[in-house]
Amino acid sequence: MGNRAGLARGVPVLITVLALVVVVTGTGCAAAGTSVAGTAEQGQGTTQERFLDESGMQAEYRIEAGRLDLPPGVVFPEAAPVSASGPQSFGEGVGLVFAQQYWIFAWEREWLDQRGKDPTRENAALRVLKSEVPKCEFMTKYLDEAGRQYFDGYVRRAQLGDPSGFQQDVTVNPMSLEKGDR
Amino acid sequence: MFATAGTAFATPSVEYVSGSLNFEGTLVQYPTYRTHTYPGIVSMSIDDMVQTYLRLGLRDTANVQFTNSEQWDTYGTKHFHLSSNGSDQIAQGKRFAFNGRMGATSIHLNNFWGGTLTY
Repeated sequence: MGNRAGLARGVPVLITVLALVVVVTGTGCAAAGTSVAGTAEQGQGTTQERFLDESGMQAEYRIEAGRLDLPPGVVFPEAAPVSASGPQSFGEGVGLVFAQQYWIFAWEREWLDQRGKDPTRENAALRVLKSEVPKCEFMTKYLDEAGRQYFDGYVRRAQLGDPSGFQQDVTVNPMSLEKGDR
Repeated sequence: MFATAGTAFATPSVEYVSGSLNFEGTLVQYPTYRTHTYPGIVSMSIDDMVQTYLRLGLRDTANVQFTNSEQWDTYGTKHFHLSSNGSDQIAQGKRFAFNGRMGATSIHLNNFWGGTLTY
């Protein structure tokens, strides 16, 4: 419907990962690039997406998870969860997006848990949420404008000492954090 | 459109969404997340169909599909229902991405879908 670019109808999608290239952005988040045979696009405008197989998605996840610092006592899961068993394909970015959403959730949870108890950890969490999260690729590339505005509102409330925004977010968008030592 | 982040939009967001699927009929997980800012239903009006049937569901931030899959055999509008209780009321602030698949076919003619998402 006018928002596809470079795709021919009827071209079968192959799911062969050819290479994995890591681009370090220096903002606390990374962009994982991949080369695959076959393309797809979805969503906002003309952005093309590429499919990965599960090993490609997990490689993307592990690279991103390795770059992100979590709050004390929280670790990344060994692997990103998948929605179903059996053969499946993942748009480029699914692994990275899971890692970054887990990272954001962990710092939201940390701020909520440390608020009023440990000022050092409370302030450290808010610094990440205010300064690092808005720059990450999930926020800038994979989330809609409404989601970015919601998150900005949560940060503003938190800076005023109001936990209701982050509390709403962790309630409506829950994740299970794994505990452990790095 | 709205003044205070975290509050409901005055009107639903409306966006044209499209994608491609595997002819083999296997699941595709897309990476783009959207935010449900209007209390109530999330609906999809399909006007561009794959050559077989189309199934779409919504995935949450934990990579779990939290709605039933809706199936289109032809053009039309459907809304998504929670897997947990069948309700079509999706919480404001919920972030979601699409899972999709088409009916498997050995005749590779059209694996594209598209439609208007209201959320």
